[in-house]
Amino acid sequence: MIGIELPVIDGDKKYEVVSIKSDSVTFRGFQVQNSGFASLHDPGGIKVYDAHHVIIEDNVLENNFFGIYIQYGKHCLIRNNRLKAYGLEEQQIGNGIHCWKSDSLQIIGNHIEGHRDGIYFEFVTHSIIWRNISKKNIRYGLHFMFSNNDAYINNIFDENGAGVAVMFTKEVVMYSNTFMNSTGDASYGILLKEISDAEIRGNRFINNTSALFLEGANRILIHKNVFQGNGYSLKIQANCMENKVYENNFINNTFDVSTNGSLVLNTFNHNYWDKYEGYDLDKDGLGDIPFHPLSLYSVIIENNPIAMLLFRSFMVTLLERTEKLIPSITPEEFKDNAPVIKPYLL
Amino acid sequence: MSVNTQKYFIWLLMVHFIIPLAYSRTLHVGPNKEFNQIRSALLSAQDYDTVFVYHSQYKEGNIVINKK
Repeated sequence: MIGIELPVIDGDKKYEVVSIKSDSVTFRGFQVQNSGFASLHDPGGIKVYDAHHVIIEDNVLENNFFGIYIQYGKHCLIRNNRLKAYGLEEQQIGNGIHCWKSDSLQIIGNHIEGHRDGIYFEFVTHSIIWRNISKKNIRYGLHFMFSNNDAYINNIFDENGAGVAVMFTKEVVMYSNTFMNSTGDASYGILLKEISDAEIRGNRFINNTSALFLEGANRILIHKNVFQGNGYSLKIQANCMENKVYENNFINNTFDVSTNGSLVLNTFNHNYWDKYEGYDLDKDGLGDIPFHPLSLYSVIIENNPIAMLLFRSFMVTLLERTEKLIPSITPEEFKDNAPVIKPYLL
Repeated sequence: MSVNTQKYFIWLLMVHFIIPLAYSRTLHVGPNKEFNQIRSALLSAQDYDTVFVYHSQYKEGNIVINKK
């Protein structure tokens, strides 16, 4: 079905607007608007039921409960759609692109704004999310649940409740995305919970409350990323292990690393830390003394958040200096043995 | 690959892709077109048909696409 000059299909705030129940359907060039709103039936602007090789592209979806909803889809392409909703609370709006129990999907070049989650994957495998812009969504820009072997590359997540949440998932790659302006009490660039064997590479984390939060995350490679102007760059909970953090730039962050325990089961190597005050006498580009990225005050705040009120006071500066000279509270082994002197060109 | 196998593959290709496409139709929906409702065009359509919908506002309840 091809729309000429953007015909408008209106659900009158009562119906699911378009239902695709056959394979190999192309739906292109429409404005789909005003679907019904109901949390029991999950009405969508465009909903795909148990179909493969469906193409949904160049559409405008305006004021729908769910934007595009794929269930039991295979080899579907969702490309260059603009989705906008006006949800004020999580319970009152659905997700922009919602995919459930699907495989081999391509979500490319969409612009999603104002939904609960911009893109939501649950039990979705072997799929790619590429060059999308997910902005001002109430909860997450992108939300993964139980979705293995997926990739998201070159996306922009801006001003969402949190950029991306990846939960109960394995073997996901996250390359060259931008996570920015997720600010608030529990806001993250990326929230990783119970995930393993993933790679986070070449991303930019800018101006988030916490850029990257890891809980129960194992064997994650975090490298060649830029962490700039965040409250916390990395929050690694004590139940994370065998994660490797290397060749990243940490610039202008309030706290570089925070944790809630004393176990050191992750490694830091060859990162650039702007707070590093060491020297490089042998001129090999690597600092001659290790850098301890875990500040005493971040440990104190982890246990007593209210202590943030005293941040940047004389006492705190004194404590930090003393801890740097004679580490007593922060784990001695929590260190980057070979920090680089100059930032990477990333 | 023998000549017979090659012929078989070409025949298979024609049956599955080329012949249905050759018989596919184009339907037009819009003001002053053969259909003025998307639903009626979809009812009339067969697999592999293309439906062109021209600019207008369509309020037809739930539109179900169940043809390939």
